[in-house]
Amino acid sequence: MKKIILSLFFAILLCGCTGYKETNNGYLVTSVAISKSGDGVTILLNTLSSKDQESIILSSEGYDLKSAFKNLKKQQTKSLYFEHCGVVALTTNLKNDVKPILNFCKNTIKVPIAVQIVYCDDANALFAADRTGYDVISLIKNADNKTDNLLYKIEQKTKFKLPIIIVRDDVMFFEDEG
Amino acid sequence: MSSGVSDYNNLFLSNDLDKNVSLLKGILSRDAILRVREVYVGNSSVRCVLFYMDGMVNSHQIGETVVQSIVKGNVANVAEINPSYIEKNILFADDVTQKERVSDILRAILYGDTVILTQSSKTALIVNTKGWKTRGISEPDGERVLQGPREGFAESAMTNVSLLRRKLVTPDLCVEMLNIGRRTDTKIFVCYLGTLADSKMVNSLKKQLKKINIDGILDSNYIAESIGDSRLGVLKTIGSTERPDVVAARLLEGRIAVIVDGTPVVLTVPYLFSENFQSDEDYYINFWMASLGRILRWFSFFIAVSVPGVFVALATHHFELLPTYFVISVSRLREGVPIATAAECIALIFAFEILKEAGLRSPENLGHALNIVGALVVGQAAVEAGIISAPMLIAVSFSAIAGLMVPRMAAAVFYLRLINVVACTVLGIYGFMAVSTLFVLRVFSIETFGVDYTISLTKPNMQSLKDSFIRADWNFMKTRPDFNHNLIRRRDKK
Repeated sequence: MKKIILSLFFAILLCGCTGYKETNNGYLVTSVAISKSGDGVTILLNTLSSKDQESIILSSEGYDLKSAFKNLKKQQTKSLYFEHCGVVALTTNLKNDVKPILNFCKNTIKVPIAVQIVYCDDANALFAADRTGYDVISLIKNADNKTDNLLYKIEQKTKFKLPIIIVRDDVMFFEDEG
Repeated sequence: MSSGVSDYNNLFLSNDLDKNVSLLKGILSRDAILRVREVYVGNSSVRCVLFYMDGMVNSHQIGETVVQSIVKGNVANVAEINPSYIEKNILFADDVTQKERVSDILRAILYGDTVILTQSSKTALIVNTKGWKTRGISEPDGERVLQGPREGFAESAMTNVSLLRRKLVTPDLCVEMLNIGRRTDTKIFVCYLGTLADSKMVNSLKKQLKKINIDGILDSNYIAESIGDSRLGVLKTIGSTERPDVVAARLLEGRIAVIVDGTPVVLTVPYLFSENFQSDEDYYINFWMASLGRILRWFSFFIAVSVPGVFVALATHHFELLPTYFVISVSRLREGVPIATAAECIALIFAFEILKEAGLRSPENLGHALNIVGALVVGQAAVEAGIISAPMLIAVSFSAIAGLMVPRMAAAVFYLRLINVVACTVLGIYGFMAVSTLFVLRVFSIETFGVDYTISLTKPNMQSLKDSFIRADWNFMKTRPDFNHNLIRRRDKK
């Protein structure tokens, strides 16, 4: 019995630390913006720097979302942590591809299931002017009737309505129709 | 050459005084403090030879009650002189016995008694003349109380038995003596209250004590590690204390005490898990304060074993459970720390243990200085130098301070804390849950002298709870702990 317990103990140790992360060795992603431009896809990540708590934008392009994300990872020396991601913003021209994008977000980059999914007219403008992902989150949280756009709520539905964030002259606001 | 006095169990004195003298001298030939004195009884020609160890006897007592009484003894008829006559008519000593076995005689000489061999007799007289110097009765450093008795056990077993007997003035107090240790022949006293202690448990304990095969017993821990059901475990299953009042209280609950000569630490069995969270002072202060103390000790134990592990799990596996800005803040403070979070945690745990050990083993004044240097200078400097991070220092220090609340579980706290950190590093919070489950299963499976280690927790009746998580008012504690089937349960019954 003791030998079995010891073997199990060492087996666990030899497996390595699955899921072990060092937060100071990576970027804490607070929001993701995905946009379609021409034939390719652009992915923008709004991250918080642990050094001075400033917002850092990381972006990459690819012929599809997977390759864009792959390119983004290649560019970075640090890991990307999506555990604190609060918002996934999709440009309105991705309306027809929402389901595969959501699947990618949930299963590949592993955003939390309670992440807010919104549309935006311009992904670059959304993270401009030193705007952090938390500004976007607080805009959504302060808005009325904008709580049904959480990932786990919409992933099972075939029809859903998402809020659209419009950015004009560095000001964000909602468009009623989604 | 022999290893101990028990080697002479089958050897007896003869009628020839010179032969007996040379036998004892031969056995103790290499002992420089052996004193042999020859005297004549009164003005007769009957020769007596005294054997004693210098420094272990009361010289004044030997002079007055042995030598003087023999030399000045009034002998009417020389033919009547034999050990019994000397004992009854000549010696002034209060405690005299007669022995024939060489092992008993050697034991007496080596333990500070004076042995008198008489002419033409195969019986030796043993006079109690013990007079070695011992430490006085003082308050035990490790068990200081603000209220309650201040006396503690000393190194002399006889003094310790007398301290206990003074607390329990009853003929029900049984004191049985054993000798253990081939070379040390240490005196062990098994004490219990005859009507309260379980006779099966007493017999089982004595049987285990007799089975101990060791050449020397220098402390009660030699015994504690040789008896009991869970000898290799980190959890204590045998109680130890230096306070006579604590031993008396435990005997009144039907437990058994083991007093070992040469150490102030007295063992008590059985020892229950909930006793780890009790303080000696609990019974001398207001029960509200005592209960608060106990609840805090349970809580502290949980903090002491879990905080570093859970912190590592949250910081390295489950940081989604923490607020984002807190994660950022922790990450910022970890910037530049050259070692991984888990390694940092383990290093700090060991650093704290080093400081604790150094503080304990240093002279009192140096200990304070060491604490200041360790806690303030090294801690702060290490954080500023970026060797360790402040949040980890806080987590480990908090856990370490909480661990000091349960000193009886120091070993268990240290190892459990360390295992938790390793498990949390590998498996995250699931590792913590696995270790906690295994620990609970282990604790609930331990037995101590046939008694369930967690009996006060597994029988959730009001009486058992009154002296486990809390300490109820004495008026409510009508019964003794429920671990003894033969026990008179109610405290107010004969």
